[in-house]
Amino acid sequence: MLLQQTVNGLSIGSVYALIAVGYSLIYSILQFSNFAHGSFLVAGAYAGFFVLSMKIFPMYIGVVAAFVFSGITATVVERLAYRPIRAHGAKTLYFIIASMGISIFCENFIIAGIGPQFRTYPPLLPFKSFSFGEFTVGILDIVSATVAIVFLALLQYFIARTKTGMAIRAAAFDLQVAGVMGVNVNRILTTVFFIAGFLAGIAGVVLGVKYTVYPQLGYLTIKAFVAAIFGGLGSLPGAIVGSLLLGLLETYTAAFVSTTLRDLIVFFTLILVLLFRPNGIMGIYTEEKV
Amino acid sequence: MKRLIAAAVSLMLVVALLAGCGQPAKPAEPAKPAEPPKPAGPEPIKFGYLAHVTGDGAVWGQAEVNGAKIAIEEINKAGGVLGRPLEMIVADGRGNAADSVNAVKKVLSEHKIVALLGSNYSGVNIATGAVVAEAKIPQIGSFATNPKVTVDDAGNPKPWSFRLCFIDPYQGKVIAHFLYKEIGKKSAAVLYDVTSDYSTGLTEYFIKSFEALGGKVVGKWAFKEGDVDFRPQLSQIKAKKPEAIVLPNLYKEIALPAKQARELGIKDAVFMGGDGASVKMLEMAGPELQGSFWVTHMSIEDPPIAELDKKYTAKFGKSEEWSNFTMGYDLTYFLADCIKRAGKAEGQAIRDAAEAAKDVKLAQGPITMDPKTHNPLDKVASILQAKGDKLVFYKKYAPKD
Repeated sequence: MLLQQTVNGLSIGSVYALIAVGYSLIYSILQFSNFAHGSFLVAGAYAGFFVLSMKIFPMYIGVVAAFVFSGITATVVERLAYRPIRAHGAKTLYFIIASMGISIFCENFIIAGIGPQFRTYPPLLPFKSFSFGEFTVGILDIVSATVAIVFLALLQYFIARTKTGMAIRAAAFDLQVAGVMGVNVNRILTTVFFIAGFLAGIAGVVLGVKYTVYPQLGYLTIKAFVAAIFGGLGSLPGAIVGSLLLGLLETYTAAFVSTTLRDLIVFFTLILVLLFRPNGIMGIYTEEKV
Repeated sequence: MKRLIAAAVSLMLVVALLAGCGQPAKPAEPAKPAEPPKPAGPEPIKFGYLAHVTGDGAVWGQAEVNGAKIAIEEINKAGGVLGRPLEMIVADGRGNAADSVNAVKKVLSEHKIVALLGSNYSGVNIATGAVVAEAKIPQIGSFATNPKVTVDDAGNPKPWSFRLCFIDPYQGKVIAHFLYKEIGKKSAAVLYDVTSDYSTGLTEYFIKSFEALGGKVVGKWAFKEGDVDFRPQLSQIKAKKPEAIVLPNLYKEIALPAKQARELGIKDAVFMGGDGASVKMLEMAGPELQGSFWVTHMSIEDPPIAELDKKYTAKFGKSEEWSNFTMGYDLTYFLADCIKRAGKAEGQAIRDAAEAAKDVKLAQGPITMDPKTHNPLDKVASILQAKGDKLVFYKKYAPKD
């Protein structure tokens, strides 16, 4: 039972990780909580649904197209909504309000434009599961966890080893100074939003295949936000660890304590963690920058 | 220029705000906005229809409203009621109690409606019951199946609340009897939505009846509305090896658990649930739901409903939610019958006529209202079974004690 619940928890956590990493990345540079992140996920989920339903492309092309669409959506949002605000040098609060607006707009845009009903992905993978004695793991979980690991590893490499990655790290440290030092801030932001959207798109397609696609699918991102804070905002390994821990914590609570108390206990734990480690488990110690 | 535009926009906002405020919630005499010139002829009898035409349950809400439209067209073609045409004002409840209460209040403040029909959610009707009682007009629910919709905690009927469907205790009893007596399942687990009146009510009554028959309930597991992953609960259910899994939920929360249960290797347990089922769930979990049983209110095999299905398809296209459009259609005819018997289009008189309804002929069968509970008396349930991509009529069923 414990083993089975661990598999369940990790499979939920790996999806949270895909969302949390992008969210954390945007936070580390612009210092605001991007509530529109859920919309990127929904964009990817719907794009995947429509492309795959047309059945003209092979599966992997359709899926990658959905990831890219989601990435482009994110860059468009950055360009149209956040860049003008940044140009005015406005406070963080305005970014947050704009992102909430985008999130509400997107949800209602889908309800009005595409319809509120649930959409089901065409079967992508054989519906199979492997049993090992007492526990079972579905093929979908294996594939989605693998995809998550591959892309998160790629991202880690990109941030740590490439020139653009270095620029992103510089921008995360101090956007203004990085700009002064010759980093093209606008291009970096476009790149970061594209990456964040791309990862959210993967999460969207995974969720769409696993569950279904509906306009409120983005609400799940709240949990991923929590995971990012749990792990330490601005730290990518932290976001991943926080997500897996949150997935496990949720599942164990639901399985061994109570399903109704799940969120209560999870959020209470979060508050406890933040009392003792205000910057999350792996958070970077931030001082007021002078 | 930019500033000019900004100024104009803010001015418009202020005007809009001022127009929106300052309206008391219940004006004694609502200020009449300038109306378009009235068409000649008698004044229409207006009634409200509370339906969830957006949100999760939109498939049902839209079907109900469309069913009512067909009935209105027929009634008005035949000369209306008391010589006056019927007119429907739709209030969109968006699937939740707060929005529903606001929508109903808005309709009441803008129109003089004589009755409110709908909705299909228990939690919503329990909330709007207080609003219609204050306005002194009857509300007749479609598929609000929780007993508390029409009866208060002391067991007395709420004077202004009615319904045309059977209630959850009855549905829970049907599931229990069908599983135990009809297909011989002796143990069952329940996975239910703790945030839903419908789901918790059905669960409670199922467990009561199933245990009374001698069946073993291995446990009940809760989830919360919006959850999409049920594997923690299902892993535990798997360990208990029940012969049946009862899913007293709405279709999304039926399809996903069924899919995940089969994925976890729960192979033999049969799924059963109530009228929250919809053919939509077979799109999401077709193969996993094969052979499952669902209680419902009526059957498309009945000639009058098949007949209505033809009319509906011609007007709105094919819909699988025939029990909802039949209910919308029947509610409208039931209201027309009440107004006729009342002799006047007025809340109190219609309420009295609804309470005294005897053998009113409707598409789903005759309705007799029980004055003690405001529920229809002795309705037979239909059982559907999932086969292929359809919910097929299995048999009509009434539990015998």
